[in-house]
Amino acid sequence: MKHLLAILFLFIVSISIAQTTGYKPGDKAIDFSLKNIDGKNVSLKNYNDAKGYIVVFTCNHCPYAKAYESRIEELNQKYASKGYPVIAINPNDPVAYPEDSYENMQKNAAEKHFTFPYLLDETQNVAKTYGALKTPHVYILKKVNNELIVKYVGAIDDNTESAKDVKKKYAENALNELLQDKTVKEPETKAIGCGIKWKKN
Amino acid sequence: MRQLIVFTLAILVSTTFKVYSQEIRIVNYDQLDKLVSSTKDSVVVVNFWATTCKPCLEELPYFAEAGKVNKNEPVKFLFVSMDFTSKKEKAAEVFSKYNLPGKCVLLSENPNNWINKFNPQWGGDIPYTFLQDKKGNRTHYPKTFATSEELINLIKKELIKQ
Repeated sequence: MKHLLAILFLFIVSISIAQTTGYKPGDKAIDFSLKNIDGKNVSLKNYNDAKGYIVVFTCNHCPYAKAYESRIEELNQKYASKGYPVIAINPNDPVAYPEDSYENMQKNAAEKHFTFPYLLDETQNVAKTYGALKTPHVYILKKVNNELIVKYVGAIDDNTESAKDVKKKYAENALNELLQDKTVKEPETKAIGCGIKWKKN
Repeated sequence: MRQLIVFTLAILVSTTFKVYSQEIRIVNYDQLDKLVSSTKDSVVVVNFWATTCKPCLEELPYFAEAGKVNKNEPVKFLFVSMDFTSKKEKAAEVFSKYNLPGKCVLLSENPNNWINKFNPQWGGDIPYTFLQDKKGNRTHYPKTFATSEELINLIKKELIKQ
């Protein structure tokens, strides 16, 4: 009985640690099936030819996310053909932010002509598992022997406010290194973003 | 004539001062850190916010309330706007609306350079608050406060610390 309790305790502790930290570079990531703006579900396994993925947690309402919309589109334009498509996920609770509703995601994607899928994480489970805390929050995954390995976590670049003043393109650097089979030199970066609003249970 | 000049000058000076006092200063992380750590013998409450961050705005009235409650206590407040530098005036305008105690600065530096120095546990999501006790020890609260009491009690805890 005591053992069982100890195991149970460890189990709970490990769950809570996993929840507070989320994925770090080197971790295995899960696939998911989430509803796209066209009504169809999208999974990473649908992309047979992909070498990996640029998973971006983003949303409509957040000014930091808005500032990056065109740069996310550019990432997709540049890297989807090289095997790393952008998969954007909105994890926000639309009750807290009506601007982040499914209908508004469709509207926003149509207005901005997104060429990448824009998925709704209705249960917020994907964001929680990945450990996304804010928007935008990028996870670059690489397919290694049928597993998804996290290679980069963090920001798109070093200047949210002004794309033309960017000095370090963190995500692009990581992608270029991955495409050349090199180790990612800076696998984790920090940025300010809008906290993801979690649903009240 | 001389009187007129003195008078105009006085008005000019006072209005410039008034405008100046409401202006938000742009700082980098080291300047912010120095600003907080050089405040001695007071509890310092530092809140990171932005005009576009809804949960941040929701909790600002709690800080106004905590300021009122601690009017006669050695408690200083500093608000750190994470708005874009181009939105400095907007930040000043919103800040003045909430009748907040203390002043507001705008932090403009690549977060990847300072977040790990500041608190490596933090992912960069706002709002975020930390309290510094009279000896300079900091306690971090990466969260949104639910009530003004919650914040007031935390400040009280820092005040009675020996």
